[in-house]
Amino acid sequence: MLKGLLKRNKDIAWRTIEGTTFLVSPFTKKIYPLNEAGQVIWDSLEKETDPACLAKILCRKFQVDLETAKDDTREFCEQLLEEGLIEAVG
Amino acid sequence: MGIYKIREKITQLDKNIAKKKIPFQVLLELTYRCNLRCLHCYCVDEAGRQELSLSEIERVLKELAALGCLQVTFSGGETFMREDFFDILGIARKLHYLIFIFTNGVAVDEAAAERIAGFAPLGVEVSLYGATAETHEKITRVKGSFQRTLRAIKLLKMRNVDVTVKWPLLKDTFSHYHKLIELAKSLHVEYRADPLIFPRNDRDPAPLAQRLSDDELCLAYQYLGTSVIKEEPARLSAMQKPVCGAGHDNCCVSPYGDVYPCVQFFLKFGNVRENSFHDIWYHSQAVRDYRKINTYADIPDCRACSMVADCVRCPGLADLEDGSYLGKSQESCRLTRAVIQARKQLYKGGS
Repeated sequence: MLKGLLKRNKDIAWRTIEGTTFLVSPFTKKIYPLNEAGQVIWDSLEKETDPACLAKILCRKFQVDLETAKDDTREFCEQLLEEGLIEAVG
Repeated sequence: MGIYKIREKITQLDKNIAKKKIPFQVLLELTYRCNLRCLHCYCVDEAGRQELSLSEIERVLKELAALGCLQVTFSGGETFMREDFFDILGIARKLHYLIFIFTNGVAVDEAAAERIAGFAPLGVEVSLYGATAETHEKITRVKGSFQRTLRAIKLLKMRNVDVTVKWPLLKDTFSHYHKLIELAKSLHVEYRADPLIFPRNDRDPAPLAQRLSDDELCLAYQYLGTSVIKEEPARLSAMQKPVCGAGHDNCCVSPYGDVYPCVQFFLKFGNVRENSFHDIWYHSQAVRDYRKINTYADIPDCRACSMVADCVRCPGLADLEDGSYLGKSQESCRLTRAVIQARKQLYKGGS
C-alpha cells in the first residue's frame, strides 16, 4: 500500500502537447503518454502530495466514488514509481 | 537512443504534432567559439555580434516550451566555451526539457562530468576523429586533445551517461575508419558516422577538401553495415516521401538569435531579439514560403528521380552549394548513389 508523500522525479522531461501530456525518462528512454486522469495526477504531483489527496482530486474531477478513485490512484502511482517517474518522499 | 528517435516516436503517437508544425525539437548553438581548430569545421565566429545572454536564452527556452518544444540539443562551436553553460543546463532542467549535449569533451574533467550527469541528459555526443592521438589531432590541430576527449567519454560512461561517439567521414582519416569503430566498441559506446561535409558558414569551401571519393563513400557505408543500410528501402513515391523535417517540427537557433531550419541551412526565419519565437515560427513570410515544400513531389528537379526512395537530400546543401533549397543537391545525389551501391555490395556478398 502506498504510504507517505509522493513527488515528481525532477529529471523527468515532460510536455503537454495538443492536450496530451507526454513524459519521457532520460533513464529508461521510454515515452509515457498520459490519459486525462493521469494528467490530473501528474499536475497534482507538482508539489509533494499523498495518495489519499490524489484520490480525492480524481473523485471531484471525474465524479467517481472514492474507492474507485483510490484503486485507480494506487495502481497509477505504483506504475509511476516503478518506472522512476515519481519518488516517495521521506 | 539517438536524438531523433524521441521525436519520431511522439509524432507517431500523435500525428497532430507534425501537422500543426509544433517545434518539437530545437538545436541551440550557444557559441561558435571553440577550443579546437578542426579542419572540416563549418563554424565561423562572427566578430562584432553578441551571443545570446543567459536571460535571452531563458526567454527563448520558455517560449519554446510553451509551444510544445520538448527536446533541446546544446551545440556550438564548443558548448563548454560558454562560462554559463551549467546555468543554461539548469534552466533547461527546470523547464522539464529532454537535454542533449554535443561536445568535443576537451573541457570535461571529473567535476564537469559529475555536473553533467546531475542534469540527467538524454545523451551526450562526443566528437572523435581517430583511434590514435596522431589521427585525431591531425584533424583537431590541438595537441593533447585526443586524451582529453577519451577521458571525457570514460568519465561520462562511469556516471551512466548515455554517450555516442560521432565522427564525420573525412579523407584524411578514412583509412582509420575501422579502427574508430573498434575503439567505440571497446569503450562500449554507440557511434555514428556522418558523410555530410559542409562549406563554412561564410561559404568558404575549404572543408570540402575532406570529402570522400565515390568509392570511399561506398566503402564507408558498407562499414556501417546492415544495421544502417537496409536490404530494402521503404517503397515511397515522390508524393509520399516527406522532405527533411528541418523547419517543420524542429529548428536551430544560432548563438546570435537567428532562427534557421537547421544548423547548416541558412534560410533565416527571423531573429529572437527582434520578434517572439511564436511569431517567427508561425507567421514569418520566410517560414510560410518554406513550408510549401512538404514532399519530394514539390521539388521539380527531384519528383521524377528513380532514387527518391533512398534519397538523403539535404536542403541546406542544396542552398549552400547549388544555389537554391528548391532544387537538387548534387552532393546529396552523390551520397544517395553511394548508399545504393553499398546496398548492392552488402546484400549480394560483395567485397
